[in-house]
Amino acid sequence: MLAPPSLHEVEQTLSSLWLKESVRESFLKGEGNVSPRIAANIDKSGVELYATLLEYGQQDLMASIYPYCAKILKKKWEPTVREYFLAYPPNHYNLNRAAQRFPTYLKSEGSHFLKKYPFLVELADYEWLEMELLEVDDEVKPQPNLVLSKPDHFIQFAPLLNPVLLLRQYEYPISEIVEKLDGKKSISGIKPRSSRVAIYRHPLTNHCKYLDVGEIAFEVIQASIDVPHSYSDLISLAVSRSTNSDPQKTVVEFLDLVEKLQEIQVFIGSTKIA
Amino acid sequence: MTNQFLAAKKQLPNLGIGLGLRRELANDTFDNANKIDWLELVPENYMGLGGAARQRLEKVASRFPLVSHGVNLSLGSTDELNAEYLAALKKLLDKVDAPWFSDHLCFTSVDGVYLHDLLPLPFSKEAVKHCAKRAQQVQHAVGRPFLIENISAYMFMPGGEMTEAQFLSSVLEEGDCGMLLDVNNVYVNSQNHNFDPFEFLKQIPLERTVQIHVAGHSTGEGTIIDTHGSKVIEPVFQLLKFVLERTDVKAVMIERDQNFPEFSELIGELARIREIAAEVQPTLASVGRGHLSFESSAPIIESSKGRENVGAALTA
Repeated sequence: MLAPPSLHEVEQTLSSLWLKESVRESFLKGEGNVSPRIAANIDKSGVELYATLLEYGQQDLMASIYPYCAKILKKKWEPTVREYFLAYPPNHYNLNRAAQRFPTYLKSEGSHFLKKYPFLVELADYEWLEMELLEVDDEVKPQPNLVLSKPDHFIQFAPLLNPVLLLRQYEYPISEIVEKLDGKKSISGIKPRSSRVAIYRHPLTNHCKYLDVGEIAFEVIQASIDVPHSYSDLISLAVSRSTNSDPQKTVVEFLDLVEKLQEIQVFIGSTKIA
Repeated sequence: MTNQFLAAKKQLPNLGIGLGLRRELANDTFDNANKIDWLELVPENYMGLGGAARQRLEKVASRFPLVSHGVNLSLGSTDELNAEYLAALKKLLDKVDAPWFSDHLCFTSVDGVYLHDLLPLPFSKEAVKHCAKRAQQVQHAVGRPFLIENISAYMFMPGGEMTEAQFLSSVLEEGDCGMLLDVNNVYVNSQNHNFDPFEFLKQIPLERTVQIHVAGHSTGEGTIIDTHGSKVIEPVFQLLKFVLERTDVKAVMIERDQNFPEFSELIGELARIREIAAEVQPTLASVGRGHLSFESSAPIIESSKGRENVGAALTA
């Protein structure tokens, strides 16, 4: 008489049957490596039902987080999701985190897609970041904005950067691709073109915002990420990077930029540093 | 086996008739706060999260009694209990001061992989011992009364040595914990596995029931699925009544996780539960929070990105 299967053996075997199509198909055909003491007591229709439920959950999750990748890959999307979950099975109790490594998967396993859609890894990253920032456990408390009315203000104060913000520099114009997909326009012929994006969570709405930024704005925001830099230091940075021959014009543009970034809550106030 | 839990149950607050907190329902829930006595939250949707989740949590915590109903404790898994998970859960429960917490009699992970669904266990002696021991460990780690919920299961797992009723009873008694009885799950299993749900209820320790879930399921040919996506049917209300006639419970609630109806439909279901409770267990029906005067505040703005953890099977 066969000994009863252990709890671990049952959990491991059934999980494998539910999650792995190849293992499941072999088993359903009466082949494969399922231990006879388990195989004889497995309800095959139950295996198929749980496999369907689990896959539905995976597909639903991925479609909600990567709608643009799904739009691009069309019929190839669902098999790609299946392959992704086999390659990167979820390892965290937070459901949404199961989708986190999709850009990594595309980078390492998606070469067949990347020939046709070389921007796909960047697009997936762009889509994931929204999810990541929506959940970040960081409280954003906007501070009153300082009116830079005295010369001392420029030296003594620094802009306070929204802490729920990430910067990305992409090789492709990802925002433009997203816009085209939204407008149901063709994305064929998209050429590489450097683009820079600030992605942040708005403290009042908790929604994520994508902001396309130029090179200088990118550097100004980046400089403010780790350590607050005074307005005066940031002006110096902007002037040094600017191709504009008139520094005064650059300063005016910088002040406009600061105002804009404050308005949209990329800068959430000012902090005294000296 | 001890009966400490039964003594502890007497000290638990009577919460009344409540609703599962879902982001899709959050604003309607606030707008109808005077008809909802308490809320149940899924802790995985709040543990270690900021943004809208935190805002929602703070708002509900200030207005409703809250209890927590987890989906990823993975009580029956042979993996070690996840210490990070338990620490985050404890922190959350301490923050909202939940009088108890619950999770399912199932496994959701194995060998470090989360399957993100409530998966059935073999009804074996080994599984009883394993789950009972872990229930005690969890209760100790979190420091609050722990309830175990019976699940909808669509297949029997190999290695079974007893019935579902015997399995559930053994885990509850050996683990000396409370029960979150899902009467819809009892109904779904009775239909799929062809047994009498009332007989099932007579075989389990109803006196350990602290909380009851009421929900809808898919209908149609073949296996019915616990979707939490349709109206509660009358036979499920009858099971609720059967239980309330036999034991004191502290809280009853509606679970709705998808295919969200007009909120008035849910309010109608809550009223139906209150009507049943008024008939057979008046103290439960009369908790009512009255017409509380809340300060006016802006609605919570939710994103549709990502998914919330829920305990229901999703169907295409």
